[in-house]
Amino acid sequence: MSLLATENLTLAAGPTTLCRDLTVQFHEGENWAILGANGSGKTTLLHTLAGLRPAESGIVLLRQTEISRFRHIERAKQLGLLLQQSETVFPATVMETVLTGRHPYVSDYFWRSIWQWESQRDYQLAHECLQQLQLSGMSERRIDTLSGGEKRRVEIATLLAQDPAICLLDEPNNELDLNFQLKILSLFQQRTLKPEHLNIMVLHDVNLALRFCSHAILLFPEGTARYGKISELLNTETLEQLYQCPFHCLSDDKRTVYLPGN
Amino acid sequence: MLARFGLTGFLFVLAPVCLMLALSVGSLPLSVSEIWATLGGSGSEVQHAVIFDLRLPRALSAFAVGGLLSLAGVLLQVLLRNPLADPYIMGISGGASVFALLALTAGASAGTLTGSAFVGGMVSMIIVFGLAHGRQAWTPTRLLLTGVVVAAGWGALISFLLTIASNENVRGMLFWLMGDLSHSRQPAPSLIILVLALIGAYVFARALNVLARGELTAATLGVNPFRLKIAIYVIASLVTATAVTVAGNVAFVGLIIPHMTRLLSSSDHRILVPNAVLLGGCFMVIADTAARTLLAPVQLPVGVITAFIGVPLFLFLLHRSRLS
Repeated sequence: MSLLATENLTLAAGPTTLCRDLTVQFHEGENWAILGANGSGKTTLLHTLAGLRPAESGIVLLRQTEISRFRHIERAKQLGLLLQQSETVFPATVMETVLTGRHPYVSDYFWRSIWQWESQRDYQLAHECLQQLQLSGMSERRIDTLSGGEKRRVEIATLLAQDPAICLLDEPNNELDLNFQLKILSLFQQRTLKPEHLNIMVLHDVNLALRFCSHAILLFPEGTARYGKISELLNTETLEQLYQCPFHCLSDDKRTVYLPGN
Repeated sequence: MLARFGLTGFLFVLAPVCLMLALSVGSLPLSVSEIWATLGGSGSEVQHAVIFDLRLPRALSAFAVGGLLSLAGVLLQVLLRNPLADPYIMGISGGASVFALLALTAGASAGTLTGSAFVGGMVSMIIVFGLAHGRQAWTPTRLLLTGVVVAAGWGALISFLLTIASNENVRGMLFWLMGDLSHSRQPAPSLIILVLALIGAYVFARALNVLARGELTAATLGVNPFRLKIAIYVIASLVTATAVTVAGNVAFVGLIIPHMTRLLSSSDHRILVPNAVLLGGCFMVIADTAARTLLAPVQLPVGVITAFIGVPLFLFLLHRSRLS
C-alpha cells in the first residue's frame, strides 16, 4: 500500500508543460530525490504533492484518498514541507518558531485553539528538535539575528517538531555547511526506518542523492519524466541529458561519483 | 504562563488609572473622591453633568477608538506581512472620509454623518477586495497596491471636496479629517464592536503566529490561509470603519501601538492582540485628555496629539531595542 501516489499527473507553468501523465507510488521506508535543471518543475511537483496547488490534470493520493479532501489540519499531521526559502517579516524567537510546528496538534479543534497553549510535552519536543540541530543555546534568540545556515536549521527543527510521517524537502541542504548537509540528510534518512515514514526531496547535488536516496524522479527539459530506483536510473548519459552539460564518472569499489564538467 | 501576561496585568491596572485621569482633568477639576462620589450617584448636579454627559462618554470613546485602531493595525500587518501597514493604508478611512465630507457638505445631522461614514468605509472595503481578488491569486502585494491606489483616489476626492466647500464647513471638515473626539457621546456601540472583534481575533491568534511565517508555511502547518485571510480582512475593515466613524482619521495609533507592543512584550499574537488593544486604549485616552486641556479653551484635534506623543516615544523604543 502506498503512502503517497500520483495518478496521471500533468503539471504546467504558464504555457510550458513540466511533466505529463506521471503515475508514481511512494512507499514507506523510501527516500526519493527529485532531480532536474532550473525551471524543470521540481518545486511545482513538490508543492503539488503537498496539496498546496491543484494539478493541471490528474490527482495526488495521500493514503489512498485524494489529498484535497483532507482538512488542512489533518493533512498537516501526515505530511510536512520544508520550503526552499522562508519568510521573516515579524521575527519571532527560535523557540516560538519551532513551536509553530506543533500547531496542528495544539489547535486540532477550533474551540480548543481559543484557550489551549502548548503543553510541557510540546516544549520538551521542541527542545529535543533544537538539540538535534545543535541549536540548544539559541532558543530565546530572535530569528533575524541568526546566520543563514542557523535559520535553515531552525526551519528544519520546526519540521521535525511537526513530526509528519511524510517529509517533503525543497533543497534541504541550502545554506548549510558540508558537515550539516551530511548530518541533516542522514537524520531524515534515519526517520524512514520507522514504520510508515517517507521522504521526498528536491536536490541539486547528484552525489548526495546517490548516497541518501533509494529512488529518484528525473524531470527532463522537454517535459518528460523518468522514475525508478536511483542506482538503476543514473548514469553519465542520463545526467548529461538531464542537465545539458558533460559529466565525468569516477568509481571505486565503494561508491560512484559524478563530476560535472569535462 | 503568568509571566507571559505581565504587561497585560499592568495594562489592566493602567486603564482605569487613565480613565480616572480623563475624568478629573478639565475646566472643572475634580478630585478622585469627588469622582467616586459622583459615580456612586451622590455628587452635585454640575459634577454629574460633567462626568456623565461629557467626560465619561468621551474617555470611553477614546479608549474604544485606540483599541480598535491598534487591533486593526495588528491584523493588517500580519495580513499584508508588512510592518508599514496601518488601518488607513487600505483606503477604508478614505472612503469613510469622502462619504462623511459629502454629508457635511449637504448639511446633514450628526446621525447621518456617522451612518454615511460607516457606509463609505464598507464601500471602500468591497471595492478593494473585489479588485484585489480579481482572477489571480490574492497576494499581499496585490492587495496592498490595490488598497494604496484606492486610498489615493479617495485622497483626491477629499481635496476636491475641501476646495469646493464653503468657508464655514471647512473647519469642521478639517477637524474630522485630523481626528477628533469632541462630538463623541455614545461609546457603547464602539465598545461592543471592540469586544466582539477582540474575541474574534483571539480565536485566530495562534493561526496568526503561523500566518506571520508566510502563507505556504501556514498551509503546511494546518491553517487554511484563504479562510483566515478573509476573516482577518473583514474584521480589520469593520474595526477600522467603526473607529473612523467615531473619531475621524487619528494618525499613527494603528501603526505605532502594534510595534510598541511587540517591543515591550512579545510578537506571539495570543499576547500581542490583547496587549495592543489595552495599550492603544490607554494611549488614546491620555492623548484625548491632552487634546482638550493643553490649550484650553481651544480644543486640539486628537490626531495631532497622537502624532506628537507617538512619534518620539516610538523612536525612543526603537532606538533602545537596537542597543540591547
